[in-house]
Amino acid sequence: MTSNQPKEITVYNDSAIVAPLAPAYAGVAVAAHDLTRRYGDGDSAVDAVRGVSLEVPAGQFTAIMGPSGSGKSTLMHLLAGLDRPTEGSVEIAGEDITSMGDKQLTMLRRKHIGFVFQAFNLVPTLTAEENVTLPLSIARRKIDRSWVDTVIQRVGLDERRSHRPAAMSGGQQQRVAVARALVAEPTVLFADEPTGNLDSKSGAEVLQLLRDAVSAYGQTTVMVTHDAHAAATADRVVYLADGRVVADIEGATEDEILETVKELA
Amino acid sequence: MTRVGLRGITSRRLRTVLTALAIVLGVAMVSGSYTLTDTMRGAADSLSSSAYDGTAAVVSEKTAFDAGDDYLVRPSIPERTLEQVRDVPGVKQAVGSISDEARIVGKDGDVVGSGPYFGVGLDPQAGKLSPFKLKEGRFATGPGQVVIDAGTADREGYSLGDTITVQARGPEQKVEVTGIATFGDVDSIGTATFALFDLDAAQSMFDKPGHYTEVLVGGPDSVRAQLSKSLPDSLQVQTAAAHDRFTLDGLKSFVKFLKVLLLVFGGIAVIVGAFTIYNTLSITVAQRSRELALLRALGASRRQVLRSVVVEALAIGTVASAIGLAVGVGLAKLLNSVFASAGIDLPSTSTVFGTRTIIVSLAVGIIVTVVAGLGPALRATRVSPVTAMREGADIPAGRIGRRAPLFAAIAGVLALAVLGLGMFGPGIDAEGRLALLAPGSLLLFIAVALISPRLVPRLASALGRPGQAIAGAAGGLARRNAMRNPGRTAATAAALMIGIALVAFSAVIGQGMRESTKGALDKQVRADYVLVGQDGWSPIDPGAANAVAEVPGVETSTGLVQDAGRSFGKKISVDGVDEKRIASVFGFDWDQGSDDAYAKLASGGAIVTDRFAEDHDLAVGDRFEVTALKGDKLDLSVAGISKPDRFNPLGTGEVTIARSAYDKSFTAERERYAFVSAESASQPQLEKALASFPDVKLQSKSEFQTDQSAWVDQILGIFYVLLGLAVIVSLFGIVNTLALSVLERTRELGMLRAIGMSRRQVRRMIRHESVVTALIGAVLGIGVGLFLAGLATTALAGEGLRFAVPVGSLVVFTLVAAIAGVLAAMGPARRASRLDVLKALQYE
Repeated sequence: MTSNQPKEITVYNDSAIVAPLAPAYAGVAVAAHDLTRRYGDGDSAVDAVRGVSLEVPAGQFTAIMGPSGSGKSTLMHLLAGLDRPTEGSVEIAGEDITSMGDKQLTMLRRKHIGFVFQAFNLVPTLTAEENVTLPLSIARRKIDRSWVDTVIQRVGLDERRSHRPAAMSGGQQQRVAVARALVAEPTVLFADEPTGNLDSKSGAEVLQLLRDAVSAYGQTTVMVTHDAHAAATADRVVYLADGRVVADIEGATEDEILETVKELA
Repeated sequence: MTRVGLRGITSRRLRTVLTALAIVLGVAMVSGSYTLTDTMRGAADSLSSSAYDGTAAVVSEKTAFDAGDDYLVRPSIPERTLEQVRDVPGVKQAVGSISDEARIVGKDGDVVGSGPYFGVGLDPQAGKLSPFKLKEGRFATGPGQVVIDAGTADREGYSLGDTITVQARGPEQKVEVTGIATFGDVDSIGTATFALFDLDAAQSMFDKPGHYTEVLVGGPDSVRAQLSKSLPDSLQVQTAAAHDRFTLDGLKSFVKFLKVLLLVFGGIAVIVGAFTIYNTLSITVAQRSRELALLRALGASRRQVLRSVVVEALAIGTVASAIGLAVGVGLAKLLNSVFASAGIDLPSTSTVFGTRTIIVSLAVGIIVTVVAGLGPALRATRVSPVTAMREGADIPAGRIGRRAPLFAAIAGVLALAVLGLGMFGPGIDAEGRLALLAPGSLLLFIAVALISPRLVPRLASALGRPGQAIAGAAGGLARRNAMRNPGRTAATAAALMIGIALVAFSAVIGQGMRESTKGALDKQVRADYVLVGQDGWSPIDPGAANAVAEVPGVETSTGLVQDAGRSFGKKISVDGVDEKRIASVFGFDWDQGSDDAYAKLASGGAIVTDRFAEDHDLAVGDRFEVTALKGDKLDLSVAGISKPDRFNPLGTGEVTIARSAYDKSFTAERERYAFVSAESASQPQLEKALASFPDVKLQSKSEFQTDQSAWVDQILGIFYVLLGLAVIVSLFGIVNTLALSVLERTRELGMLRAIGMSRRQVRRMIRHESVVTALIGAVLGIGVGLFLAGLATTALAGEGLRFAVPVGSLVVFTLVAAIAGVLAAMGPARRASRLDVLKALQYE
């Protein structure tokens, strides 16, 4: 995966965070082993995710699909280290993140993880460009101007770099969010219903941006969606129901996905 | 709907507690002020009744006018008066008495207490006519014996049979403790000390052979009328309380002054609390806009919405005021120890907790809270029902919000008008000016608070820059956050501004006083050394200057005596100086006349101040009359008109006459100061000569200059402590605003954590925002404080007060504000950093 090689990046050690960084991993970007996530205990316990094992190879665009309550969001949260599994483990870039403390997780997020949220979640006080470079300045990384320019141009916001989120449409905001996720060249980009708050045209543009990042730069991406059209953009669709993987198909079209959904129902 | 308001309080407990605390402290200060001063007043009253109730009448020399509390020394009466009194029908008992000053020297060689130093000649037969009750031993019956107050005995570890040092007139002397007494039932009266001597011994100790200062009479109340009828006109007959030989009226007027002072500071804290409440409720209403809209959509009327917010304020106000009331009682004790540590000890008796305290404290707390809640409540009524359906809808800016600049302008103009009138209006006395300063300042605060949302972005941007440089992304975000909601930041900072403005104002005025004192003394004092009371202001024994004069190498050592006199129907101060010596150690700036004036003092001349001359249209050579306390009339001619520094730190009198003339007619013998010029005598040599005058300290001119303004530091210290309360109240406001902002930005915080922000960076971000807010408060406060101080010093320029900026102090205040910001951020920052990332991201 030569295209996924990070550029020369200077990392200034935040003195609070001393965990050594694992090298960028070129084989399996994310791996889950027998993941179970139980909420509550005793009789009222509910398993949102039950014994899921999954490997996301580097450079793959994976969609996690499923109906409401299928556990797809929980699975993504577990994969991204936002939630801890009750059983099982998660590896990102070959590192077991299950037992990481907050500081290690922070370092992990800085180096390996990018997020795109359904609600955009931009900082309203910052301009588009400042929002994009925010992960770099938080990580105290040296900002490579030309790379930032490339990313901003790639999402088509060259004209809007000095605009505040309030002055942008939802589609534009989400494109800023995508640029923000790409700028640090994470091992894996997690997108949580990225088109959920967008009209179909803007949604299509955002999906195309994600698709381009995977195709042109080998950006490993995991996207949670309930939309078959969106899922069709991905290389692979993992279908969840009742917390279990019930289908795992590669290269499916929208119609094939809809067919699978129908069969499973 | 009422239940919705009340439910809001219980569901937002922390916010409610913080809001309530802002009012608790203000109310506590009000209730504490009342409790403290009522208790002190009760103590003073009980002292007064135990001191005076057993005495039906006091006979003393009639004074020509009422000298007031300032002059303790009264004219004396001959011993035969006692026989005259005893002959009057109705008199059951009569004893002679001497009330003067005597200092008790402690084991460390310093005078005990800080005055008054009562020296009493007591007839052992006095019984109920005297407030003193023996605790141990017996009353003094001859020379060389003393009875001391139990407080002093306790503090110094003196017991019966000990030989101790006292100083009455002249050098100190050794006496034996024969008894330890209480004053009524109390061991001591604050910082006062009592030394009780045998009556005959006292006559010689106090240089009053054959004289008493008063005769105490026991019998029915009607005896006063009998005495007035029978005794010669030169004597006056008074109740003991009116005569007030232990100057307890001074204590009472001090208590009254203290009450006003403390209530002013309490009022400041309450006003700052009002800002905090206004701000917190505003934010709460903004954050609850969806909930309120939902209620409106469900059919709630505007009135009901209004009521639900007002009820919330009312409930907070009531509970907080009740707590504040109780805390106040504790605060009263704390304040007492603050005063004690500043050397102002007060008599202690059981706590007086009056009905008035309860009513006023509750009323102030509740009314202020509700009034502060009205603005936000009105804003809440403007929430449109459709807001419930939209996300993140804001309440439209209210009328006040939109027209803030107009209101600010009105408040500003009003403030300037009131301040201008107060400071420069003709025919207003100092008290009136001060009284106008308060509403003027309040209006100014309001004006600045209203306009500050417009200043906040620029101030926050500038003040946030260093943080950004230090803390990188966290600092930058903090800076932006402070600018994010200028109205909120401004209101939060405004509360701190008030405290800081008053602190800065006090500091500038204090610095002005210090420099004015220094400057004036520099001009007046030409001596190398000054002899002054141990405490810096008590008059000293005249023997001290003479003792120093004997030291080889001393060129001049001469004192300045002062007493009350009356001239042109007004009470004035008359100074007595040695006309042959004074010129070399103490200077007059001549308005009219020259140094020749000194020589003329010996032959009935007087130096008068330019003001006195102007008021009474006097020129050099004109004649005028001064009456002394005991009735002597002095016919004086103006020898020179002086132009003293208006600040007059030494408190020199309007009229200065020759010491010889003074001694004949005036009663105060102790010297205010003595001035020494001695180029070839060393300080240790001079101090050795003063060894037997423990009440006197010798200071070089520069030491004297510093020491004479030391009281400024003391007063400033007390002011800072009292204003600290207002600052603390405003800190709760910062905590509240930050906590609410953290809550509001939960999802954003979750996102920041998700994209790699560490906990430490989150804490930093909150802390920096807090510091920026605090610094805005400090900058605005110092600005307003400087402005007010400039105004006040301009107005008081006629009194010689200078405008001087204590740069160091202002820098310290700014640092303190920044540190306060860090402290205020601790809770909210910790909370923000501990947010669960996932939950925060899902927060609605």
